[in-house]
Amino acid sequence: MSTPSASIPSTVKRHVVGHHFNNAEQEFSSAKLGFWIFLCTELLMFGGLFVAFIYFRTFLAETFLQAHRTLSVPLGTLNTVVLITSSFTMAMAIRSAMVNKLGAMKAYLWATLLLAGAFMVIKLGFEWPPKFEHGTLPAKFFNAEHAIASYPFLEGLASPEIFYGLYFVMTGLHGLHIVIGMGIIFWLILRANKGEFYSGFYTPIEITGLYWHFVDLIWIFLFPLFYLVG
Amino acid sequence: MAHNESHASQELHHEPLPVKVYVGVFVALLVLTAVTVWVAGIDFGPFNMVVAMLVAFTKASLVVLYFMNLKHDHDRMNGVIFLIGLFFLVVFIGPTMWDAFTRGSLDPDRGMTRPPVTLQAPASAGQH
Amino acid sequence: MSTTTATPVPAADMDAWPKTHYWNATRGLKSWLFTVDHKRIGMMYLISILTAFLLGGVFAILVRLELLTPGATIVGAKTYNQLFTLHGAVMVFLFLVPSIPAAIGNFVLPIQLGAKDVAFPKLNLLSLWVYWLGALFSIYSLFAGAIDTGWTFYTPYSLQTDTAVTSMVLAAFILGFSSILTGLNFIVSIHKLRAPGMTWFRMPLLLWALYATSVIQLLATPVLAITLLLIAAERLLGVGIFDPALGGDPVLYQHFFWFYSHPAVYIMVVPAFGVISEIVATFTRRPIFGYRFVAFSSLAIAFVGFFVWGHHMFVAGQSEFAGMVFSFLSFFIAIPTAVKIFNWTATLYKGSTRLDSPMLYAIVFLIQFTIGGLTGLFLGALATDVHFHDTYFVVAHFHYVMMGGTVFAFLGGLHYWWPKMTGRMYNEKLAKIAVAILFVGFNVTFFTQFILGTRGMPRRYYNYLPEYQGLHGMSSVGSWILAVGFIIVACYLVASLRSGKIAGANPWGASTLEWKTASPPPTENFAETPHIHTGPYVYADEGIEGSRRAA
Repeated sequence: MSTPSASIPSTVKRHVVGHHFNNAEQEFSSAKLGFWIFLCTELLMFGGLFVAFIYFRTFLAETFLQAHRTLSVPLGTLNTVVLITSSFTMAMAIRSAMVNKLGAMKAYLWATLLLAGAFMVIKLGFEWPPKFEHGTLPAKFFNAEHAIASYPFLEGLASPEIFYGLYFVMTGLHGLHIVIGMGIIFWLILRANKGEFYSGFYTPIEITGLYWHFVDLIWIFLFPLFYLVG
Repeated sequence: MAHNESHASQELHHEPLPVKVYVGVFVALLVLTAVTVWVAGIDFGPFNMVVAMLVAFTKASLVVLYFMNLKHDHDRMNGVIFLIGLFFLVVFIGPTMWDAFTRGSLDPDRGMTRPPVTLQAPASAGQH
Repeated sequence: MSTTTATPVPAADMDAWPKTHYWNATRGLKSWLFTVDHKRIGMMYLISILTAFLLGGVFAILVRLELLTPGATIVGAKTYNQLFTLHGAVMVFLFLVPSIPAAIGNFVLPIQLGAKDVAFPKLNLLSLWVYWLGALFSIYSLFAGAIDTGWTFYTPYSLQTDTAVTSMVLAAFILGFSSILTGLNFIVSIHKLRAPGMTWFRMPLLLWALYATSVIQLLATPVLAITLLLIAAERLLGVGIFDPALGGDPVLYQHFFWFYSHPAVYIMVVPAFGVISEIVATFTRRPIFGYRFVAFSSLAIAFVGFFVWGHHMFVAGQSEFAGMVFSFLSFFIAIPTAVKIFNWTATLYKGSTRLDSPMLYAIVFLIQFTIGGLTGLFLGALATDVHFHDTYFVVAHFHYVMMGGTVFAFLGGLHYWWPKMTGRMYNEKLAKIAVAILFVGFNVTFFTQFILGTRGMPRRYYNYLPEYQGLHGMSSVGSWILAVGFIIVACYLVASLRSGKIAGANPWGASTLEWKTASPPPTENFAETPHIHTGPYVYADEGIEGSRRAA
C-alpha cells in the first residue's frame, strides 16, 4: 500500500530540466546511470584494497589471526549499527521527498548526518587513539616495544605492521568517504531549506543515497574481515 | 491545462515503496549484524571465512536490492553495470592470487621465499 | 546523401562563415573558464594536451641527445633517469590518455549523436579543471626533485628514492579522476542522448570506439588510483604490502600497476581506431567494410585487454603457470585488432580514395600500427620475451603503437576536424610535406630501436657499449627530423586561424552529423534536432570520383 503523494507545497522551487534533456525522466535516469557507473569505479578502487587484504590474509594468516584480536569488536559492531541506521534514514529521506513530506525529509537528512558524525567520533575518538598509545600503527610509526607490552601475543609474528598498515589505509579511506558524504548531505540540507526538493525533483538526494548506501556496503565487508574472522 | 502539461514533463512522478519495506530491510540488517557477530564466536574451521562472507553478501544484497532500489529499477542497465564491476574485480583477484599460489611450483628455486620479518621483543630489534 | 531531416539550410549559408558560433557566442576569459559548452571544453583540452605533448617531446629530445654518445653527453646519470621517467609519465598521463577522447571526443561526440551537449556538462568542465589541477601537481613535482623511477614506479625503488614520487603519484591520481569523469560522461551520453532514429548500429564508429574506451577508463583507472595511493601511503606511513623489507611483495605491486596499465594502452589506442574509421570512410566515400565487426571489435579489445596484464611480468618473478596463461590470452587481442585492419583495408578496395592529409595520416597509421602490433606478438611469446624484455625492442614496440599509431591518428583527426573546429582550412601542401617528414623521422627514430633491441641494448640505460653508438646516433637524428615535422604542423595550423580558407560546413564531403552543421558550429550544435533514418556512412555518389569541397 503506497501513500498517496501529498500535493506539491507552494513553497518549493518548481524544477526545470536541463536544456540538453527532453524531460525529467531522461534527466533522472541519466543521473542514476552516471552514478552507478561512478560506483563501479569506487567498487574497483576499494576492491584493489580488498585484493591486497585477501593476499596478505592468505600468506600472513597467523599474523592476521592474532593481530585482529587487538581491534574492538564492540566498537566495530556499534559502528556497523550506526551506519546501517544511517542508510535507513537516508532511504527514508528519499522516500519522504517522493511523497512531499518535506519536513520528514529534512529530519531524516539531519539524522543521517548526525549518525555519520557519530561513526566518525567512535572511530577517531575511541578506536584509533588506543592504537596510537599501543604503537600498533603502520610500519613507519609502529612501536614494537609498546605493541608487545600491550599485546604479548604479537611477539614473533611475521610483519604485523602490514595488518595495521592495511587497517589504517582501508578504514581511513572509508572514513574519508564518510566525511565527504557528510559534506554532501549538509549541502543537501541547505538546498532542501531553500525548497529545491519535492516529489517532482529529488535527484540529488537519490544520487547521494546511492553513494551513502555504497559506503555502508564497504563497511559491511570491512567489519567482519578486520574485526571478526579468526 | 497547457501549463500543467508542459510542466509535467519537467517533473518526476514516482511512486515510492511502502514504508514497511524499508523498515523490514532495516530490521533484517540489524538481525544479520547480530548474526555476524554471533557466528564469529563459533569455530567452523576452514569455513570461518566462508560463513562470514555469506552473511556479509546477504546484507549487501539487501542494501543493493532495496535501499539502492535495484530490484525495482526500470533501467536494468544499472544492475548490469554493478555486476560488470564485480566481475572485473574477480578478474583482478583471481589471476593475482593464482600467481601467488603457483610461484615456485615449476621451479622451486624461483618461488616466493618470504624472509620472516618477525616482530621482536624490545630487547633485540626494537623499532623497524 | 543527407542522413537528417533537419530543416534544410540553404547551401550558401552553410558554406559561409557563420555569424554566431561557439567561439563568439559569449566573450571574455571567464566565459571560457566557466563554460559548460562541450566544444569550448574540447578546445581547452586540445590546447592543454598539446602543451603536454610539447613538454614530453622536449624531454624526448633531451633523452635522445644524451644517448648520442655512450657515457655522459649532456647530463649526469640521475638526471637522465629523471628525463626518461618524465618523458614517459608526461606522455602517458598528460597527453596520450586524454588526447583523442578529451580533445577530439569532447568536441565531436555530442554533435555526432545529434545532441546539444554531453549528459553532464558541468562534470565535463570539472574534468577539465581536475586535469589542470593534476597538471599543476606534475609541474610542481618537476621542480620538487622530479622522479627517476621510470613511469612504472616499480617498488621497492619508488618507495626509497628521494625524488618527488609522492607528489607525482598524487598528480597521476588526480589526472585519473579527469579520465574517469570523461568516460562516465561519454557512456551516459551515448546511452541517453542519441538523436531520434539513431539506433546503436546507426552510430558512427568513432562513437563505438569512444564507448569502448570509456568502459576501459572506468574499470581500470580506479585500480591505478588505489595503486598510486598505496605508493604514497607506503612512502608516508610505511604500509608494507609492496616492500620486501617489511614482508611485502613487489610483484604484487606489478599486478596492481599492470591491471590498469595494460588496459590503459587500449584507452590510448582504441580512440585512434575510431578516428581512422571516420577518416577512411570519408576519404574513400564508402561505408566502412563490416561495420558491425568493427564496432564489436572495439568492445572485444576492451574486454580481452583486461585479461592479459601479466605479459608485462614474465620475468618479474611471476609464476610460470600464470605466465603461460597470460601469454596464451595475449594472442587473442590480435584477433579483433586484425579485424579492424582488414576491414579498413577492404574499405580502400574500389573506394574513391582521395589522398588528402588526413587520409595520408590514416595510411601511415595502418603501416606503422601493424608493425607495432605484430612486434607485440614477439613480446607476448614467453620464449622470445625472455630475451626482449627490458630491451629497446620493447621501447620500439610501444612507440610504434602509441606514437606511430595513436599520435599519427590523433594528428589525422586533428587535421580532419580542424575545419569543423575552427572554420578554416589549413595549407594542404605543407600538411602533406609534414606527413612525409614525420613518417621518415618516426621510422628512422624507432625502427633502429628494434634493431638495437635485438642486439641486446637494454632500455633506460644511461651508458652503453660503443657497438651501439651508430644505431643510437641514427635514432637521435630521427628525433630531430620528427621535431622539424611537428614544428611545421604547428606553424601552418596556427597560421590557418588567421589566413586559412573558409571551410564551410562540409569541406570533405563527409556524411556524419557534425558535417551537417556550420563550421564552427553554433553553441547548441543544431538549429533543430536531427532525425536519423540511415546508417552513418551514406554517400549518394558512393565510390564515384570527385569530392565536394566548398568553393
